[in-house]
Amino acid sequence: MSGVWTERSVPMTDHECAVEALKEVGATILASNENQVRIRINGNEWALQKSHGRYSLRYNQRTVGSNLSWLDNIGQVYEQSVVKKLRRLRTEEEGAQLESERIAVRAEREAFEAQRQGLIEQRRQEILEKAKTLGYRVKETKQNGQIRMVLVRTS
Amino acid sequence: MSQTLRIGHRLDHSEIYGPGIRSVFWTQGCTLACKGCWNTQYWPSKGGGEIEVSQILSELDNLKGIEGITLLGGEPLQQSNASLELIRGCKDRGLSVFLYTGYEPSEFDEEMQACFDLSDIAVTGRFVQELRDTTLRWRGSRNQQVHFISNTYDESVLQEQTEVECHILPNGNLTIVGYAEPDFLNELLSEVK
Repeated sequence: MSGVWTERSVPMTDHECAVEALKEVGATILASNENQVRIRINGNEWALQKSHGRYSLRYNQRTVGSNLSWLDNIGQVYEQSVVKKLRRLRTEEEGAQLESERIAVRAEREAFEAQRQGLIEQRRQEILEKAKTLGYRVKETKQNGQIRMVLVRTS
Repeated sequence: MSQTLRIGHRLDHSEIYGPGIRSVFWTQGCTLACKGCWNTQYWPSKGGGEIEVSQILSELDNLKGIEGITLLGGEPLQQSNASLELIRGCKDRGLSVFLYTGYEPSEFDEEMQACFDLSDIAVTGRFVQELRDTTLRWRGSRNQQVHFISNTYDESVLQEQTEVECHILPNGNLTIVGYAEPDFLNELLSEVK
């Protein structure tokens, strides 16, 4: 029996966009900093911890039941928030009066755009390292913007 | 009129569910309820999404670099009408077919048998938790049988090994399929169940 494990939402890397998305799906922000966002939603409190460049939620599906339905929508909302932020940064960059302002906004935009690519590379490295530890050979293919990694172990 | 297939998940390109690169479909709905099944999310017959077989075939026509398709689940033979149309359509296009079923051949009705007969390779039999063995290629437990039905492939393609496949999407989302150990999953997925 083989399994399929899919993350329910798009990984959130940007704090500002994550907070905006969480509010949009109905969460009340209880506390928030770069490393952790604590929220209340549907009567339950959750903490999203930032680790490995993304906000992660750890839970036991058996105990939370359907209380996590908000997770199904947040990826899409987060994506919209990312697009909005990128548009705002581009507008600010174009409208900057001073060259120094323009350079600062451009740097912010580039760092923002690099976040996701950084996450992808980080996930790739994590898989490679874990595979090596467990004795797998790895074959990697890039296709249509996706990375496919086939891990094989003969024992 | 094309049949409708209910699908829980699909991958356009995968390398661990049969020979070569294959388009893989996890059908939605299974009443066999094998103890220890890793894909219980594909048991309910109302989950997933419906798609016409003609639509799937048209999408396959536009996929580059695939050798064939693999049908698993869920239980593909509990939608044998639609599965048969898909299998026939793939064969017409020169695509090979790898079929997974939890049924034993002795349990097949006429339509299930037709699905089996038209496939190139099939794995049959329930998943038995006590016989689970992740070192087997293409099967989860030692009782499951691999059948080479057509002349397209033979046993030389079946080299026993453990296989896991990770897909990182352009948005950073990660999907893992195959025979992964729990700690492998726990460290890599953002949400751990």
